[in-house]
Amino acid sequence: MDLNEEKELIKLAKKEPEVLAKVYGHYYPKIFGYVLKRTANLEIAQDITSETFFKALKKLWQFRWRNISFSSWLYKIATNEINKYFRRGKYKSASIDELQELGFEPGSLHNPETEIIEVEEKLKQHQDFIVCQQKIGQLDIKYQEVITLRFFERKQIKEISEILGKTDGTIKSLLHRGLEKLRASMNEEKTQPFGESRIINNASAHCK
Amino acid sequence: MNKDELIKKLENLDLPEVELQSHQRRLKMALLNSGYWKGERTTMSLLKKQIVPVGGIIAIAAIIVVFSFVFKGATPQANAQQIAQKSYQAVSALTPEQKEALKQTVHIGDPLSVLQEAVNAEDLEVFTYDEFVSQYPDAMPPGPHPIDMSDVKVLRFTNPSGVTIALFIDQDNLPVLMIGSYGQPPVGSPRPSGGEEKGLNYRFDDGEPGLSEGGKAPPKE
Repeated sequence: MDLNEEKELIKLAKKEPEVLAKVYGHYYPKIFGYVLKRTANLEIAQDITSETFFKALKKLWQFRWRNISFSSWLYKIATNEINKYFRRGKYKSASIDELQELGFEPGSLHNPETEIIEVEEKLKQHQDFIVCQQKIGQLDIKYQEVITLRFFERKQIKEISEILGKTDGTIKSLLHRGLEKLRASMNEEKTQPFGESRIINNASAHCK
Repeated sequence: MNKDELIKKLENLDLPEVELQSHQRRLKMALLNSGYWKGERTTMSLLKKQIVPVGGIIAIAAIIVVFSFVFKGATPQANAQQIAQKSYQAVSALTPEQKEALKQTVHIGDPLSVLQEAVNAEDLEVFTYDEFVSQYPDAMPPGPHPIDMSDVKVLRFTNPSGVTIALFIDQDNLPVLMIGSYGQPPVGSPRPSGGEEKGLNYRFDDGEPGLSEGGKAPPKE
C-alpha cells in the first residue's frame, strides 16, 4: 500500500468500520510479527498486539498526517508497549478491562491448540532467526529496537527515525554501535538458554 | 565474523511469517464493537476516560490561546477568540472602580468570567453590528441606540448554562452591552442615569472615579 492509498484509507477508516477492518487486516500481520520477533513470546505478543490496535483505535480520530505515516504510527505504539514489557519484565494490557467488556479474552488459552502447535512448529524451523533473536535480545533495548526494525522488519533509516522519534543520524549511530555489540556477542559463541516463558527455545543453530 | 558479514547474515536471514488467525479474528470483532463506533470518540469522553491531568488540560488551553495569537485572524473563530481575549485583557487592566462601573452599566455580573466563557465557547462567532442585526433582527432591544455601533464587534456564543449570549465590544475592547437568550428581556439593558435612559453604552461621564467622557473607555493604567 503506498502512502496515498494509506492516506485515503485512514481517512475513511475513521468513519467506516468496514474500511477499518480492511486497514486492520493489512497491518495486523506486520504488527503481530514485529512484536513476536521482539519478544519471542506468543502470549505476550498477542497481548501487546491487542493493546496496540486498541490504543490506535482510541487515538484514530486524533491521527493527522504530519511527519509520520500511519504504518510508522502503529509501529511506534507497538514499540512503546514492547518497551514497557521489557522495562517491567511483565506485561499488563492497560485496556484489558475495556477489551474484556467487549467480549475479548486475551491470551493464548483462547486460541485453538492446533494453531499454537502449528505456530510453534513454524518458528522452530527458523533456527538461525531464533539464535539471532536471542542474541539481539541480550542487547540494550535501544539497540534491539533499531536492529529489529532494520533487519527483521526491513525498515529504512527514515522509517525507523519516524517510529522511534529520533534523527537519522542517531539511528545510524545506534545501528552501528548495536551491530558492533551484536558482532562481539556472536563471536563469543556462547548462546544463552531462553527463559521458560519463551516459546522459542532449544536453539541449536548459530547465527554465524 | 566481521561487521559486514554480520550485516549480510542479518539481511539474508530467513524470517518466520507467523499469524495467529484466531487472535486476529477475535481482536477484530472487539475493535469493531468498541465504543469508538458508538459516538464515544468525542474529546470530552476521551478526556474523562483517560483522566488527563488537569495540568494537561490547562496546558492545552494555553497552547490554544497562544496559537490564537500567533495565527490571529486565520479563521473567523480565531478572530473571535482574539477579540474576546483582548477584551479580557482590557477589562483586567481596569481599576477596581472602573470594573465596578462596568458591571453596573453593562449589567454583566463578572465581566472577566463572561469573557472567559466566550474564549472557551466552541461556537464563538464574531459579527459586525450590521451583520448581527440582519441575522438576528429580534435580538436587539427596541428603541434607538445612542451608541455609535459602527465599530462595535458582537461576540455570539453559548455559555456553559446553555444561554446564547451576544456581547458587544467597542473599539477599546471593552464590553458595552450584553444580551442574553434572544426573545427574552435583555440581560444587559441600558444603564439608567438620573431617571433618563442615556443609552446602551456605559458612559463615564458621571464624575465616577477614573472615568472619562463620551462613552469611551478610560485610559488604561
